[in-house]
Formats: sequence, structure tokens, C-alpha cells
Amino acid sequence: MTTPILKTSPACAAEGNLLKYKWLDQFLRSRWYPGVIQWPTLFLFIIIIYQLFFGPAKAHDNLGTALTWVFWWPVIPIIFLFLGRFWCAICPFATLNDLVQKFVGNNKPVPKFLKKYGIWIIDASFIFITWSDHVWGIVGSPLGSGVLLMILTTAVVTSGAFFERRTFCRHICFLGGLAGNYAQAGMLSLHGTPDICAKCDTAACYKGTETVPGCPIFEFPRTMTSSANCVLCGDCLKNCPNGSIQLTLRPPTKELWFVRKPRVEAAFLAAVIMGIVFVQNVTMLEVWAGALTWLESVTGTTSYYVNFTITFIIAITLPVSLLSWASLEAAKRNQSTFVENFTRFGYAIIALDLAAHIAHNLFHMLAEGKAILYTALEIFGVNSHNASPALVSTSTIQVLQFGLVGLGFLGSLYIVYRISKTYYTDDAVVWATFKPYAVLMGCLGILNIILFTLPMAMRM
Amino acid sequence: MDQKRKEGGLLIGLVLLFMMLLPSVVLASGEHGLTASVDGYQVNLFFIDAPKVGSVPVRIKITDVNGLPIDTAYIEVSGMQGMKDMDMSMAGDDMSSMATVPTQVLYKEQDDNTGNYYGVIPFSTEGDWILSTHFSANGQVLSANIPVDVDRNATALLVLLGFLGLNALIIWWASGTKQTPVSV
Repeated sequence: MTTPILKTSPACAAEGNLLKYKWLDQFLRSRWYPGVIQWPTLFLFIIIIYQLFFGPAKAHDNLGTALTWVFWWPVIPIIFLFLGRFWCAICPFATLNDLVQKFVGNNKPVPKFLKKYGIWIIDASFIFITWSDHVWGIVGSPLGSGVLLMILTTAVVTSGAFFERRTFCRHICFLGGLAGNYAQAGMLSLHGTPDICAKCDTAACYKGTETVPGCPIFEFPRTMTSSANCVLCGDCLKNCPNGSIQLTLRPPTKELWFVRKPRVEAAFLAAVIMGIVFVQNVTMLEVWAGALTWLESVTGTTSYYVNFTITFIIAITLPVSLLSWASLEAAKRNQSTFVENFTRFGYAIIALDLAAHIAHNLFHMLAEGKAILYTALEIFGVNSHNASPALVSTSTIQVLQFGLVGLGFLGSLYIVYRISKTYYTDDAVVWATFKPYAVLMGCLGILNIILFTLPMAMRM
Repeated sequence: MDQKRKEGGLLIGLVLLFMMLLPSVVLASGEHGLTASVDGYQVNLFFIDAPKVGSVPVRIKITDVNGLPIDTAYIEVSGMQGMKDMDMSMAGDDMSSMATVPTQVLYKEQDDNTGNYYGVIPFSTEGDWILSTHFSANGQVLSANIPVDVDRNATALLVLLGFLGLNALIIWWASGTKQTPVSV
């Protein structure tokens, strides 16, 4: 281990480096960061757990439910857009991981199967958690939400107790997988300065120093080309003896214009997320009850497990199938294989994913936002007398939703264009590749717009 | 490193202490009494512990206008969930989807002339319930409704304790398998 020797960053001179602002640089280097945000978040997490287990049985009256599903869940994709995976630096699960590791950590290496198949495990767990939420009503049940959080806590404690760094956050956490995808569309990027890193022989950013551990997510800023696994914890900044680390602003989705090492599992996750947004929207529509009755008559069973699972499979399969179709069409025109096209252009859905995800949650946040205040006041005996929890009118929310989906659609189209330009020099091939993916984005965008025009039910 | 191990042991100790103390604090038991009156008779319903989901033992004591226990009564208890805030005149409406307690006949201990009757009420879910007590006294059949708030905390506490126990076990196991670096 080495000791950092520089306190100021030569990279500050680089254009667009936010660390040129002394207060920000000092704050991120401070020993109080990220603890000053981490510990209050952990405290809030304990309050949420207490409320979910011992607060009111009805989700409508439970502060834990309100804070988790009306505040945190809708806010989280917005954080990913503006601050990348910053949430992961202050996440209570990460704090628990570090705490357990500090005292009893065995620090075993990450199992090979996790390194190889981790993202598929993330894909599967994300699908399973969404499915189980619907069939077991996790969001609608404070106890169910509490159990979900305790299952995650147990997984984190196990990981921190036996494996090195934040194995759970990097290779298992379903939200980490989502965050990794969204952070690539985010506006904040941390990276080393190539000229400075080239002369470095310490790799303190990865290995750590006497006072500060190495990157908790196993990233090496010297070679890091993506924000997918940077949680902005500031450890590399504190450790770097050469002041190489830069923190820069960039246009949203810029990283997706050219992904150096695209992975099929990440492209698959991008399509799956769109399917999950569809499911979340469809099942919250007021017409869902009628659709379910129709489905019951078709399947001949009233089992919600069966009928919802069919809906779920259709919703997940739809964007994956559309992406497959577009990739097949593109393969006929650009001489790349189906898998290459699927992998490269699947990333383009992320912009629309993020927009649709924020748009969906915007309804819960703005139509139910006051529920956080009401449920908090009820703890002190103040009754809201069924006052409206809405912050703005439904029509205002709809306008915002349409605007977001429109921006996401344009963002996805532009990513497709940039990826095409990166891989193909011939303009005719670029546009021939662009067309099927434009149809794909159009279909997904229109489906989202249709779903947002229909009346939606509340979460609480 | 010794200091670190000591701190680790302290952490584990605190977790275990918390787990041992929590149930005794939260599950502090004691009889919970509820009453209702009808035609001068007072129906006293006692839960041995706070009413919770599952089969809950109860004791009922009915006293007459003079406060004397009646011990020749035939007592039945039935219940319906979610009725606490509801207008009871709606009771004839379709309530087939509501959880109910099937009619339970309470019994008296042999040679017990204190007017206490015992039984078990099976609550299927937490929340607000109305227990209807039907009893015969002096040739009349009377009914008294008693609202009951069925607590989910006991169930929730058991679930939480299960998770905390599992986590404590994992931490304890990890502390045992952790290798201490050999100093040279």
C-alpha cells in the first residue's frame, strides 16, 4: 500500500473538470465524505424498517411505504440521470456491507461464476422481484416491503462478511444493475487523466492506501471507460498520489454514443427494463381489472399467478422481440451479425428506459407526494382526514410524462445514429441500419404514450 | 489487529444483546381487557396477550346489574374483520369477501364458580375486528359487540427477529472463519 502525496489535483486544469471548484474538491477529499450523507441515510433506513414492520398495517398510512415507494423509488432514476451511481455511494446496504466487512470480513475473492454471470443474475433477480411484487403485493404491504429489504440486508451482510470490497453491489444488486445502465446515460463522469495515469506505477486508486481503501466496486480509473460501475465514493480521488482524477459534466446519453465493450447481457437488461416499465404501467391502469377478467375467460382460470405471469411474459418479451427483429433487419443491411447488432444497439433503449421509468414514477411522486407528509404527521397523532395527496393536477403530470417520453425517444434515436456512425463509414449503411431501430424506438415510444394517456391507480 | 477483533466481538455482542432484549421489551405480556354493556349486563373480554394473528386464548366474564358474575350462561363468540369504523346497519350487505371468525362456544372450567369462560379466537388477519358475544342469561339471549384491534406486531417481530438472528449467525460464522494475518 502507498500513501497519497498530493492534495491538489493537476487535472483541475483540464477543461470541464468540476474539481477546479475548491469547495467541491475539498468536500470530496474530506474524510467526512461520503459518511456525512451515508450515516443519516442508514438512520433513515432503520426508521423505514421499523415503520414497515411495526407501523400501520395499511400501506396508505405507513411512513415506511411512503418513503420507500413514493419518495425514494421515484427519485432514484432522477439521481441516476444527474449524478450517475452516486446513490450507491450512500446506499444503506453499502454502508452495512462496509461495516460488517470492517469487523469480520473474510475478504475472499469474488467467485468466478459471479464475475462471469453476475449481470445475468441481476437480470433474473430484477425480473423475479418485479414479478413477485405483483403476485405477492410487496409494494402494497408494509410487511412485504420490510421482508424484501431484510432479504437484501441478509444478502449484503453475507457478501460483506465473506467476500472482498462490495461484491454484492458490483455483481448481485438488481438496483446496481439498473443503476449501471442508467448511469451511462447520466450527466456526471469520473475518470483518470490519461497522460498522468500513463506515468503512474502505484495504482493506489485500485489498491488503496494506508488511510483509504481501494475502489469498492473493483474499478481502475486508469482504464475505466464507463460510468456503469463508478459510485462516486471519492476513494480514488483521495488515494491518487498524482492528482489524476477528473469529475466532468457531459451531455445526457453521451457515453452511450460509443460503448467500447458492449455486452449482450446489458443490452438484454435494457430491453427487459422497458418490459418492466410496461408491466408497471399496465397493472396500475384502471382498465387492468377489465383486461384481467378477459384474460381469465381466455385462460379458463381465475388464478392471478397464471394470468399475471402470462401478462408479465408478454410485456417482457415484447421489447426483447422488437429489438431482436430490428437487429435481424439491421444484420441484413450492415454485414454485422445479429448478436453484434443486438448487443451494440440494445444500449440505445436505455435513454427511453430512463425517460419512461421517470415518467411512470412521476405520477406516484406528484400524485401521491403529500402522502409522505401525511403519514409522518400521523405518527404524531395528526390526521390528514383523507386530504388529497396530489402535489399537482393529473393533466400537468401527463404533460410532463409526454415531454419526458418525447425526450427519451429523441435521445434513443440519436444514440442509434451515433452508434451507426461509429461502426459504419458508408452513409448508406448508417441510414439502412438506423431505420429498423428507429421503428423499434417509435413502437416503444408510442406504446408508452398510449399507456400514459390512460387513467392510472395510486400506489398507496 | 487485536483491537479490530475486539471491536468485532463487541459488535456481535451488541447485536446478540439487542436480539435477546428486544423480545422481552416488545412482547411484554399482560392481560388486555375490553368491555361492552347490554341491558345492564357487562361483558368483560380478556386476551391473555395482545390480540394478534393466529389462535388467541380469551377469557370472558359477564356480570349482572349488581356486578355479580353469572356462571350459568351459554356463551358464543363470532367475529368479522374490518367492521370497526363501519356503519353496523350495513351488516346485511354483501360481505362475503370479509374475513370472519367462525362461531366459538366458550367453556367453563370445572368447579370454577367465578364466572370465567374460556375459549380460543382464530384471527386470520390483522386490523380492525368486531367480536359479537351472544350469551343467555335469565332466559334471555343477549348480544354485545366488542371492537378489537388485532395486532400484527407480534408476527412482524418474529419475522424481523428471524432475519436478525440469521444475520447475527452469518456475522458470528464469518468472525470464526476470519484469518488473522501473521505478523513477521
